[in-house]
Amino acid sequence: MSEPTAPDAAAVPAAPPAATPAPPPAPDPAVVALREEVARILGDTATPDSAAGVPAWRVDATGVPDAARRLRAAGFDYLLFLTAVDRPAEAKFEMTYLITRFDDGRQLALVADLPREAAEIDTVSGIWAGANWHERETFDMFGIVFRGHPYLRRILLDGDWPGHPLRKDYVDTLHDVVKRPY
Amino acid sequence: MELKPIPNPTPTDTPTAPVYEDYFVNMGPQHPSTHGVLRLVLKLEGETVLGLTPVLGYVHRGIEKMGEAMTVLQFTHLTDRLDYLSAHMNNWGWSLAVEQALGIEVPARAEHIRVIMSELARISSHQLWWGCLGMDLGAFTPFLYGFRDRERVNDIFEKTCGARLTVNYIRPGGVTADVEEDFAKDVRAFIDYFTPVIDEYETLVGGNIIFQERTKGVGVLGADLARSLGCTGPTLRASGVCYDVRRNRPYGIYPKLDFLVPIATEGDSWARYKVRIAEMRESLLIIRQALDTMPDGPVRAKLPVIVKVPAGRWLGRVEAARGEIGFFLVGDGTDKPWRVKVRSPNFSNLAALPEIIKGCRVADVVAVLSTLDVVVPCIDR
Amino acid sequence: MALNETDATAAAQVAQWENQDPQGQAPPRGGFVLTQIDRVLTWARTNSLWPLTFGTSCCAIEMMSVGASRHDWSRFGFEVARATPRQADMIVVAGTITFKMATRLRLLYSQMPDPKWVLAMGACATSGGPFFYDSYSVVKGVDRVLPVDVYLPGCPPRPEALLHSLMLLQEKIRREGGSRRQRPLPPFMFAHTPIDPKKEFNPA
Repeated sequence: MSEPTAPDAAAVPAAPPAATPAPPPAPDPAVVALREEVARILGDTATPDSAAGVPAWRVDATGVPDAARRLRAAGFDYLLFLTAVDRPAEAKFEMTYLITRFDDGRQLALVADLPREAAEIDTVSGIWAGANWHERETFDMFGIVFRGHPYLRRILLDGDWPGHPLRKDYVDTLHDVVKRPY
Repeated sequence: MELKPIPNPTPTDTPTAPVYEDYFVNMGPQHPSTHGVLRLVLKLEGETVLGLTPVLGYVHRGIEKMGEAMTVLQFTHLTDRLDYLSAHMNNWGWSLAVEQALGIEVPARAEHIRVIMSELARISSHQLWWGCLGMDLGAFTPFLYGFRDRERVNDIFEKTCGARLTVNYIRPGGVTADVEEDFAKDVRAFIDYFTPVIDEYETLVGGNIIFQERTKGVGVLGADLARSLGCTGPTLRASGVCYDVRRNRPYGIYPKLDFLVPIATEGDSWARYKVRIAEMRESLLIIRQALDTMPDGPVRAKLPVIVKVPAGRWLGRVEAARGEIGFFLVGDGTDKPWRVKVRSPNFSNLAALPEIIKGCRVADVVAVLSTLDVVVPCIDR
Repeated sequence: MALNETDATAAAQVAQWENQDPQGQAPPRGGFVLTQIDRVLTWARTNSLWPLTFGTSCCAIEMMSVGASRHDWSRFGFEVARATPRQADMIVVAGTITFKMATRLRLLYSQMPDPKWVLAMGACATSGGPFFYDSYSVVKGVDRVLPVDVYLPGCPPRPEALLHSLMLLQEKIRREGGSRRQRPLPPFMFAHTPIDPKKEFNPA
């Protein structure tokens, strides 16, 4: 970045006037267009999520396969990944599906909440074949059961591994985990 | 080639006839040709493969869980160790995610250096792929030639980044340190050396009739299946789908660079081979353009002393040597991420293997796996 | 990951590990002729140690660089890297060892014929490396699984460092004598689950 210059006495600005809040930055037109298109595709089954970053929509856990089917039919043919985010404070898992397109790469996140006890959701491996292994990995790491999955078994850890490691309350007594001291 | 299993001539309905059952063979996890610790369970009838199941997890290190316990700047050194042959691209993907989260703008000189380093890493990675492909199919010479070229690229990396393989050079905000004075001279010398050598390599291996017979028509991946599985990179482009993150979702200075994206339509191992060779040529063009137009200036943006990730979901996607790698960062306002998810290109590419290998022979398993070019630590994370 | 069921075998392993000779292997006793024959055999063994190709992650690339033409390990006698443990003299553990892989690694080591040596290449094999903290699936050093002879730190170590460590191993063999007693395996508390490919095959 530019080097710090010594403060020039003549250029010191006067004290700023009483604050009028600056207007928020103009939203990216591409994101606005994407929001309109997805709102058209999904209708009122999905509510836009206001978190920063990737444009996200929240759906009900039971409505995920239907929303996925509609998006796939509308040309969003590339499932980048699906995973879960553990929120123990709100006692839920946030299932996150990152859906994008092969032609122009526009991306959106489909988010569904699952209760932490007995987390189950329908599979989308019939819509995108890649979801098969992603769901196995999510089952392996979080313990979420995907109903209708053809072969739901652990994929990365041994079959008899106790527990699901990416949960926030995972405590490992067998494998000598050393916590970072700094 | 269409191979049909030979029907068994022995009658099986007499009381003393032997019982036939399916034959399963383990390939791995320790195997010279599986490119890492990958175990393949093959269901065979004679030499024909009826089915294949990959068993993963032999080098699962828990990188995503470790990401929740360290700061975003401490995590960059772990991203090198995912797909270590495209270490620069991995670092770049993570840096993109963090820069989006913090709203940092990267100086122009750093963008040019990032492109040059990434494309050199792509060439180096493809040379290792090419060398190991030759070695897997029985020819040891490509292995030595590939590593000879890798050593030249490693010398350039070592002078600037300090390391040969796990470089940790591209970090959020720019790059770690400026390049040396003879960086431009070294890189141009490498380009001049490598341009005629690609043609020589293509005739050496690609012109060999045995290689052609072993790869043409073997392991055909259709475009629809590839799209549905989420395959990316040369594996996808060899099936006819025009998708390259540098073109379809550009980042850095790629919109300003003039290069072609090679595509093939057959989807067999030969097509994947041709696509990667052509990609190496395009990478040389990119490096030359980036080097010619490189401006002066700082190489790293100023970051706050304690980097706090704002609440939200951030995603950095780049074109690694094997496909699209994505880093998904969920922040919660503290200096440590709440969740880090690595979208691995090799994970999705390997998912294609069970489908495309049906009907091939056991020796073809090695050829197809080699041209799919998987690096197992990226799959297992 | 099934734990070792019987406490008796685990206790026996621990006892054997703790009672081993701390000075290493004493040279064999015998007269002049036997020691000279032993010297010749040791010379032959040190100059022709065939490694097992075993690389899990990034260090494997540097090991392949050592096998390539710029830094060539066949100058030192490591000419033939065998893929099968039955024909290998030593194993260069290059890369991270996870709990899932550790039991298979012990099986590989037990399939190697004596005398055999182990070189722990890289920070991951020495101590767990960058994955020492917070990782639940990495064994913190391959010396919890196999008896290691030479440790080589680095992440990844330079090819020249690997060559140096190979020369150190050769010096160690000359010092100890090429024919040696078996070194006991360290106590590793996870049993080997037998590999049955039919159970793991996914018909889908």
